[in-house]
Amino acid sequence: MTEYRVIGTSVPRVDGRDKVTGAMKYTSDMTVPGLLHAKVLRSPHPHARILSIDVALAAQLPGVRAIITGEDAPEEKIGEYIKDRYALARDIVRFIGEPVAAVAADTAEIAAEAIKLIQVDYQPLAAVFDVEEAAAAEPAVVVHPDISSYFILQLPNQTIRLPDNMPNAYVHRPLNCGDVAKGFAEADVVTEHRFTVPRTQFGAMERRTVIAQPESDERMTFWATTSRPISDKDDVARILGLSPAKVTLLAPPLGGHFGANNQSQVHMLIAALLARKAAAPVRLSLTREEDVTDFGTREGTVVYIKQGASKDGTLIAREIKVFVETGAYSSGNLALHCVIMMSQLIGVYRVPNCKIDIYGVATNNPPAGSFLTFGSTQSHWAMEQSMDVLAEQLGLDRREIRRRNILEEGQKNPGGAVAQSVGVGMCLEKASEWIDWAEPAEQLGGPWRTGKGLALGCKHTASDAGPTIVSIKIHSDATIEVRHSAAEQGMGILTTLAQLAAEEFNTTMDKIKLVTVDAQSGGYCLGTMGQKATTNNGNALLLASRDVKRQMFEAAAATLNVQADDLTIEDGLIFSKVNPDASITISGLFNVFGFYGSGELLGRAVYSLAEKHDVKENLALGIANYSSLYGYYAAAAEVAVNVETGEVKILRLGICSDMGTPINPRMIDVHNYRGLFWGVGTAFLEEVRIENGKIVNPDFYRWTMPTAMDMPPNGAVASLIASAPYGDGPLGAKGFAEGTMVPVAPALNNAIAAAVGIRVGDAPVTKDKILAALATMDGSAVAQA
Amino acid sequence: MKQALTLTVNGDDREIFVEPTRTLLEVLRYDLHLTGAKGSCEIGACGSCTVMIDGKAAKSCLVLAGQAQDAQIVTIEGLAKHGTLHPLQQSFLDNFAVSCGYCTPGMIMAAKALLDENPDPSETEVREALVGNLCRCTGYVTIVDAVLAASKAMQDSEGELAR
Repeated sequence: MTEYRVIGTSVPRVDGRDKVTGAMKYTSDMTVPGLLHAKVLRSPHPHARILSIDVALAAQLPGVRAIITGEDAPEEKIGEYIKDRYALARDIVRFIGEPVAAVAADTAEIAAEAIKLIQVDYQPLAAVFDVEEAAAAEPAVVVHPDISSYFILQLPNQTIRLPDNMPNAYVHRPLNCGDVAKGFAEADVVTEHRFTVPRTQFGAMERRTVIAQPESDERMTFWATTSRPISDKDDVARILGLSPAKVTLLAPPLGGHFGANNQSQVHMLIAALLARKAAAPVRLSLTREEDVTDFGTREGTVVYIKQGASKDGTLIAREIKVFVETGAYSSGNLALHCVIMMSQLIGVYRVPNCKIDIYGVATNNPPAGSFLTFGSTQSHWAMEQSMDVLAEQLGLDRREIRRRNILEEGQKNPGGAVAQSVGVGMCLEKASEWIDWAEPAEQLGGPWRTGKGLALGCKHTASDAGPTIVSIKIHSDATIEVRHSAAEQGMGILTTLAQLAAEEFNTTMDKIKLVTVDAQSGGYCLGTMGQKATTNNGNALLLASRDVKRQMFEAAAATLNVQADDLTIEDGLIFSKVNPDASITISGLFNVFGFYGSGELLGRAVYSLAEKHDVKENLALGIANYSSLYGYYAAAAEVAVNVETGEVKILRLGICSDMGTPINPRMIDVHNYRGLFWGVGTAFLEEVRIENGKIVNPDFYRWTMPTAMDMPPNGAVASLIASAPYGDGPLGAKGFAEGTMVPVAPALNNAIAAAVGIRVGDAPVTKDKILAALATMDGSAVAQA
Repeated sequence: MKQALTLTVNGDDREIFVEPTRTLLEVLRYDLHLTGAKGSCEIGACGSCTVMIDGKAAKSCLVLAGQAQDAQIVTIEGLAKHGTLHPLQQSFLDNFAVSCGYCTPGMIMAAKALLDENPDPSETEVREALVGNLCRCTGYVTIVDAVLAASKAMQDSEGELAR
C-alpha cells in the first residue's frame, strides 16, 4: 500500500464550519436588488388540449410585472437526449402540474393572486397511466404521437432506438449475450418473477429555486439549484436563442440532490422568460408540491426476471425485461436512465447467456427525474431476490450461490466488457462475516420470527461522461487554489478534491483553497452526477497539479542549477531529492517568474476517460455503455417479523462498499449510513402514490422518509469498507457514493423471506402486504422458519 | 395590515414592520436576513426551520410573527460566541454529522433544546427529540453520535468549571 499523508485520513469537511453556523448560502438564501417573484399556473388535467388562455384580468392586478404563456415559450424544446417539451405547454398538456402560464410580480403573494385570475379553457383528452397498458402495441392513448419527428441526440455509444411496435416507448435498450433459449434448456432449475419498485420523492431538503437576472446586451445571469451548471448554461442559452457566452450561471452548494437537480431547465427558462419580459430579476422557488410533481420522483419500474442455473448453483441464463414508467416527458434523462440502467443490470455475476430489454415508456403521469442510482436500486431489488429464490430451490446456502457466480477481476461481464477494480467479493465476505452468516438468526419468541438476508450490488461510475477541466492556481504564499465546476451536493466532493490537492502538493489542508467556478469562468464538467466527480474531477485535478508543478520545477531547476526531474515539493518548499540544500520557496519562485510580491501560476488539464484503452475497445465492440467501472456493495440484514401484525423490526443492518482507495473513511461511513437509510425507506416506507395522474401524497406528512426513530440504534448498524483500487482513478479511488443504497432493500426483503417464508415483490413491503402474503400460505412455511 | 413588531432574536431587539400573519420563518429569513433557518416542507413536518422560542424547539414555519412578540428567539446564528463554536456545532463538525447541511441548523437547534432540558440523554431520547427533523443524507447515525458526544463534552466542561 502506498503511504499517504492526507489521503485515507478523516479530515473534517472543508465546508462543515459554514454549515454548522448557518453561514452557508444556498440558492434559496440568495436575493438581488429589485427582485420579482414568480408563480406558475399548472394544468389540472392529465391530458388535454388548451383551447384558449385569457390573461387580461391578471394583467390588471397592481404589482404584476410580466405574464407568459406557451406563446412566449421558444420553439426550441427541452430535453437531455429526446427534446420533447416546451418551457410552457403549447396546445397540449400531458400531465397534472404541467406549466401553462407564469406571472412575475412585486411579491409572491401578488403573483399567486394573479395566477388565479388567468382563465384557461381545456378540452380534456383520454389519458394513460399504467406503464404496461401504455407499452402495448396498440395503446388506447399515445402520449407523443409525433415522437418520431422529435430531435434525438445520438452519441456513439448511446444509441437511442424507438421501438417499432410500442408507440409510447421513448427508448428500447437491448443486450444479448450467448443463447438464452439454449441456456434455459440446459438449466436444472428455472425461476421467474415480477418485481416492482414505485416512485418516490428525491426528498432533497432544499426545493429547486432559481433567480434569473437580465443584463445589458441580452446577457442573463442565473443562480440556480443545479448539479450541472455548465450543461444547463448551454442548454438554456440554446433554447433562449442566445450565444452560450451570454449566459452566466452560478450554482451555490445544494441542499441535497439525489438526482433532483439534474433537471432544473424548465424552471430556469420560465424565470428567464419572465425576467426578459419584465426587464427585472425574477425568482422562482418551487413549492414542495411543485418540486415533487415536475421531475421530482423516481421512475416507476416493473422488472420481469427469469433465471436458470445448474444444480451446483452456477448461473446459466438470465432474461430480464424492464418497463420504466417515466411519465409525460423524457427530459428528466429518461433515455439516459435506460442506457445507464443497462450498466446496472449487467450486475455482479458471470452470466454466459443473457438477454435484457429495457423499455422507457411515456404515460400521462407527472414526469420522473434521473433518480439516485440510475436504476440500480430497481435492478438489484429484482436480481438479488431472484438469487435467493434460486438458492432456496436448489437447497444451497445463499452466500455460497453468490460466491460461485461472482465476477472477478479480468473476467468478462455479461455486457462483454472486462471487469476491473472488482471489490464485490470482498464486500460479500466482510458483510456476511459481520452478520455472523453461518450462525442462525437469534430467536425472539412469541409472534416474532427472525431471519438473515444478504444482497450484493453495483452502481456504474459514469466516469467517461465527457471531458473534465480543472485548473490549479498557485498563490505566492503557497496556497493551492483548485478551480473546478463540481457541484457540492452534500457528498463531500470539495473535501475529496482538497485532500487530493493536499496529497499531490504534499502540504496541509489549510493551504488548499477551493473555488467552484461559475459557468463562464472555464473549468468544464458535464455535471456532478452518476458518482463520477471523484474520478473525473479528481483525475483532472491531479493532471492540472502536475502541469503547474512542471512549470514550477522547470523554473526552479534553472535557478537552482539542478535537474527538474530531481525536484519535489513539500509544504511549499521546492527542493532537490538529490541535494536537499538546493531549494526555493514558492514566493522565491514567484520572483524568478518576475512577479515580485504579486502574481499567480496556473496549471490546467483536461481529463477524459474516453482516451483509455478499455473504453475505446468497449466502444468499438459496442458492448458496454460506458466503461466497466463500478462501485460495489454488499448489505447484510437481520430482521424479526411479527406474524400477527406484519410488523418488521430491524435487528442488525450493515453495508460494505468498495470505493477503490478510501480518501476519507468517516465521510465514506456517512455514505454507507445514508445507503442504509434509503434502503430502509425503499423497503418499508417510501412511495409516491399517483391516482389518475395526480400525486396524492406530495407533502412530507402524507409521504415520508425514515425518521431517526425508523432507523435501528447505532449499535445495530455497520459501515464497512472494502478496497479494490482502480488503476485509472485518482490515487486509486473511484466513485461509489451514489450506490450505497442499492443492496439494502433486497437484503432486508431476503431476511424477511428467510424469517417467514414469504416474498413480497412489490416495494415497499408494508405490514398489510406481509399479512396478506402470510394469509395465502398454509402456515407450514411459517412454522418451518 | 402591516404592524410594527419587536422580536427578540439572539438577544437583540429587532423592530420590523410586517403583516403579523407572516410566519416567523419568513420574517427571520427575509426581513432580518437570518437565513440559517431553512424553509423546506413549510408544513412543520421536516424541522429544517427549527429555532428556539423561550427555550423550546419550535418550527418557525408554523409560528406567526405576531405570536413571537415578547418571546426570546434563538436561531443558529446565535449559538457561536465570538467565533467559538457551541459544543453542539463543534460536535456536528467533529462527528461528520453534516453533509449537504440544509437540515443542520434545525437539527442543532432541536438538539440544543433537548440538551438544555436533559443534559444526559440516552440514544433513544436523542432519537425521540429529533424525530421531527428529517435528514436525507446521513441516516441519522452521525447526528445521534454528535448529540451524544456534545452532551458528554458539555457535562465534562461543566465538571471542569465546578472544580
